[in-house]
Amino acid sequence: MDSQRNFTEKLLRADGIDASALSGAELSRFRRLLNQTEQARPFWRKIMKTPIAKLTIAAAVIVAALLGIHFSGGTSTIAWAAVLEKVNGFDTCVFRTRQVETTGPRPDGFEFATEEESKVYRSDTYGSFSENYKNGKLHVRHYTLLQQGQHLSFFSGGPHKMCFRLPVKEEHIREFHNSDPRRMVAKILNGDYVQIGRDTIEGKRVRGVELRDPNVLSTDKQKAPAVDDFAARFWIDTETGLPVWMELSYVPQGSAVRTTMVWDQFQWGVPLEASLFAPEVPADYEVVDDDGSVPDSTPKTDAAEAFAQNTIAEPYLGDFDRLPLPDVSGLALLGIDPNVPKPQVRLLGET
Amino acid sequence: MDSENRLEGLVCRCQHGEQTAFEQLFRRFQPRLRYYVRRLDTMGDHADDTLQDIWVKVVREIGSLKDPKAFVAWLYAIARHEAYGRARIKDPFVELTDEHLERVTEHDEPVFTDEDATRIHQGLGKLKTHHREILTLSFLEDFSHQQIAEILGIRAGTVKSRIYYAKQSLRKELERNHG
Repeated sequence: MDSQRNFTEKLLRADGIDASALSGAELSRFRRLLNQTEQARPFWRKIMKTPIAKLTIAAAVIVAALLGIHFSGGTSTIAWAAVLEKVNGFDTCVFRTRQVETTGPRPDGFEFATEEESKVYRSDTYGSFSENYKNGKLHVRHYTLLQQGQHLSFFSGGPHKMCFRLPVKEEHIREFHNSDPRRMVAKILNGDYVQIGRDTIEGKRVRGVELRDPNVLSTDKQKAPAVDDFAARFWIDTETGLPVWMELSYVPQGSAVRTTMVWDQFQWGVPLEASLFAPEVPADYEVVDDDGSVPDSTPKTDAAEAFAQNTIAEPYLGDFDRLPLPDVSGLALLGIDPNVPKPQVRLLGET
Repeated sequence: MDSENRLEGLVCRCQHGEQTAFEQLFRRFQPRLRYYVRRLDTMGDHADDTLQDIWVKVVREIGSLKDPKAFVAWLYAIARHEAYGRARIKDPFVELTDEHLERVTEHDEPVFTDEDATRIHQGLGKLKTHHREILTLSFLEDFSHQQIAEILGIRAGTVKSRIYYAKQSLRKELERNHG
C-alpha cells in the first residue's frame, strides 16, 4: 500500500501536483461550491435505518423542511390568517419542545421509547439559546449569537465537558430561521388544513387546525417523503389568538417507530435581555475553537473521543424496523383529545 | 481502522450532509482527479472547469450511492463522464475480440516500479488516449480489473487485455526515449 502511495505521489509530482496540500484558493472554491450545491438526500429512508440520534436529526430536518416552505397565501380564513399576522408581530419567543420516539407496545410486552426535551429562547435581534435534555438530563446547550457572529455548543452529558466555538455560518442562520415556530404556523395555514374544533389546554380555551397531507413537506427540489401516517396541528388560545400548542407526528412508510414532536409553553413577545445571549464558558469546560479548517475524522484526544461519544454513540432504535412489530400508526398522538391516552413526557427539571 | 473503512465512514458522513467530511473527501481525491482529468483533457485548458463539475455532481448525487464501498469507482466514472463530455471526446475504446484476449494470457505484463514514476508520466503523454486512460486509472488508484471495468463500462476480461497492450505501448515508448 505504501509503495502504491509513493508511486502515485511521484506520478502527481511529475505533473506539478502536490498530493499532500491543496491551495487555499482551491479549497475556498470548493467550500463555496459546497454551500451553493443542493444535495439530493433520501431523508426518510435514513429515518428508518439510522441510529436514534440520526432519527432525531432527521426529524429536525423534516421539521426544518416543514418550516422552510415559503408562505404564499393559501386557503386560510381571515381569522386564521390573523394568527399569522399576530405572531409575525413579535420579535421574541420562548417555548418548550419535546420529542418522543416509540415502537409502541411490542408482542414481548416491552415498549422502546426515547425522549428529548428543549427549552428555546429566540430573539430576532440576538439569536437563539436552547437547553437540550435527554431522558431528563441536561445534555447540550446551543447558542446562535447573531451579534457576536458566534455559534457555541456546550456539551455536558458525557464524561468530558466541552465547548465548541465557531463563527456563525450560513447553515446556522438557515437553521435559526427554519426552527422559527412562526414558520410552522405559516406552513400549516398554507396547506389544505381542516379545523378540528375547540378544547382546553392548561386551562385555556383553544381551537385548532390540522394538516394530514405530508406533501406540505415537499419543496420544488425535494419530493414528499412516503409515510404511513402524518399529522401536523396547532391550537390557539381563543382569547389571545396566539398559538399555545403545536405538534407534528408521523410514521415513515414501513417503519415501526412513531415520532411525535410537540411545541408548547409559548411566551410570545416576552422581553429577553442581551445578557441571556452572552454566555461565559465555565472553567471546567474544554474550549475547542473551530476556525472552519478540516479536522481529521479520527479522534486523537480524550476530548475528541468524548465528543464522538456525546454525539454518535446511541442505541439503534431503527434496528427494530427489521423485527415483526405492531403497527404504530394507530398510536395516540400527543393531541388534546381527552379520550386518547398521551405518552408520558418528562418535563424540564424533573428527575 | 484501515484506510478502506475510514473512506466508507467518510462517504457515509457525506451522505448525511456533513460539510467537513466533504472537505476531507475533496482533499483526498482532488489531486488524483486532477491528474486523471489532465490525462484525458488533450486540449489542456478544461481541467479546472471539469473538476468543478465533477464535485458538483458528487455533492448532489452522493446520497443516491447505495454502497459506500463503491465510491472510488463511482467517483472516477463521474470524472470520466464529465471529462469526455466537456472535451467532446468520443469514447476511444473499441471492443477487442476474444482472439486478443487469448493472446494476452500468453504473455507477462511489463512491470513498472515507483522508481519509474517520472519517466512513466512523460511516457503517458506520448500514448494514445485509450492507453493513457487505462494506465492512469491503474497506476493512480491500484484499481482491480473489476473496478476499472465498472468505470469504463466494459468487461473485466477486456480490461486485462487493454492494460496489457497499454503497458506494452508504454514500455516501447520508454525504451525509445531512454534506451
